[in-house]
Amino acid sequence: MNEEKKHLWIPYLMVLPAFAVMMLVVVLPILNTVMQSFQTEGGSFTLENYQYFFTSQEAFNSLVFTVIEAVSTMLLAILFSFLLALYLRFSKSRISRVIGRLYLLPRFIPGIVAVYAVMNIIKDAGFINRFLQLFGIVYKPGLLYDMKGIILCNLWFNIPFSAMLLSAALSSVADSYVESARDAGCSWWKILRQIIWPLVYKDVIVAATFILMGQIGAFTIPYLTGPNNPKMLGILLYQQVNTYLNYQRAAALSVLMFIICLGGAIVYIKSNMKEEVWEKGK
Amino acid sequence: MSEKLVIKGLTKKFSKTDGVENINLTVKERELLTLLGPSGCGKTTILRAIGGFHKIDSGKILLDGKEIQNLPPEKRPTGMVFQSYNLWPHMTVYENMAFGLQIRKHSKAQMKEEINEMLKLVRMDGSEKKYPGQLSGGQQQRIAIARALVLKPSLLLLDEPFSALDAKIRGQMREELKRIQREAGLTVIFVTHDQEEAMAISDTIAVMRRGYMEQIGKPEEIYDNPKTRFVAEFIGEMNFLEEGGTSFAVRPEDITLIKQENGPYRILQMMSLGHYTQAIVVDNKGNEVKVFMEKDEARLFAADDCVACRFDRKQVFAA
Repeated sequence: MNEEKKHLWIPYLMVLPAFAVMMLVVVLPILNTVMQSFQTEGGSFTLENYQYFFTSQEAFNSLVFTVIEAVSTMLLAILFSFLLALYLRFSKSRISRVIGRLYLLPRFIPGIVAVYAVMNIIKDAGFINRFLQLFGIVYKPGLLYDMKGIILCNLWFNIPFSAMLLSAALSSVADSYVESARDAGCSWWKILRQIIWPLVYKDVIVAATFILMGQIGAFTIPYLTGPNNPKMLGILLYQQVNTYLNYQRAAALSVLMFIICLGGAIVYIKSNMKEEVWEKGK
Repeated sequence: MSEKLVIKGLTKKFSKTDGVENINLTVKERELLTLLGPSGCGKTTILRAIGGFHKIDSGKILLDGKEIQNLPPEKRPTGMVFQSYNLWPHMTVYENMAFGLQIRKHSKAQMKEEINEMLKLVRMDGSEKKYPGQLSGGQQQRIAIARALVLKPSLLLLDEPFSALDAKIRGQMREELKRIQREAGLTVIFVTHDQEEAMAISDTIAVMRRGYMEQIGKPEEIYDNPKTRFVAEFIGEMNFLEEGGTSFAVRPEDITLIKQENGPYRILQMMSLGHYTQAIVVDNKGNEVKVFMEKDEARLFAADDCVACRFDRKQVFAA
């Protein structure tokens, strides 16, 4: 046996631990869940678990609620973070440098701590309300236990995250791309549309899918700040397991949520795989 | 020749020590003027101020008799070519060239004709459909020059456009630029830190140091009669020597070696540099002197020979 052949098994050995963990905590549970979703409590085949979610008004409302929340969070987070990333990339002021160092800070604050902190500010008897009372104004923001509260808290986490991705993308836009466009007589708006956007739009799609998929399965934030009804799909799932102890229905809902996320995954992979002509040979 | 660009008292400071102060400069019609100096001397600052990319603190910039110092870059009739990353990578050569023309609302037929003409001028016709990533560095810079020229700028600004290219291509591009300038009758300001490049292409050289103009003149004038020690050192090779308490400078080609037993210098090294030979001679105190000579002459000498030096042309600097 020659040297090369002797070590053929080494790469497999290196992949094995990760592969084993993948099988154990990802693939097996998914298979198990899919199987369970088609079973009755007794173990016989049924479609009833799925039927419930397609006929129940509560489930349908929750789905609509989740989609609206996820899309709003995505749009707002992308808009704000794109503006922030543009500012960080093209402003050379001191403020921009300071913000450039601080903007990731929210990512380092434990989620639940941040959520309670935001709640203390925006709740009807929170900081905004009390501060205004000092001036004799009685104002109840009405943000908490509402979709607005969920979106607000999610923006706290998602803006820094997406700004980080978009900043990295914008760093590939050289100063001279923008300067030569200005030299050619181009307005800022046109530079943004024709020079910057084509170079970064793929990363915007990636950031958007990440945010969107995160919202489909969101739990902590909607649990603490969301309304009782309609609710986010994550809460609905939690109730199926912990309140109603209906594991088969929970499994069916899980599969449905998985299928929704699959859509996001397809968009993500497609935009990553698609290579523009100009990128070839780079 | 009439005056194309006049700069009066231009000051742009980034900090107390960084920037340019009270710059006065005149560029004539169809002239190629080079701003030459070491990095950080302010040459790019002046170029970017002319192009509108730096807001100046004070002074006036007159192009074709009109003050342009308060206009943004998009309103100035200047065209700029940068060191690198000039072309927009997601657009073809044609789209790159058409970009500015579209803003100026040229008709499609007119645009096509103008672009073809410009591509022919830079000898890149046939590359319309290629993307910048498919071109070599030298080809990209040709397109960048063509893209600037197709907008018919009154003044072309080049910010070290060839410094990212390798030596051979750089030499070719110099000749190309000279030809393009002649054929299109362009006025050009060229920024470089490469004195050889400046000597080769310029009609006029402005040597800069720490934000000031050290000397402005024709290449040969600057080479033959440098006003300051800095210019003498920066342009070409120069020996700085002392004889009888006075210091002076001599170009290596202005020294003649004479074979002499017990002469004051000893040849340390002979090095053939192609069409001429460089000799380094050393005196008994260890001071080295560089000498250039013709190939035929060099055959008469070898390392360790004792020689005397005749200085045919000495120059003296105040500081």
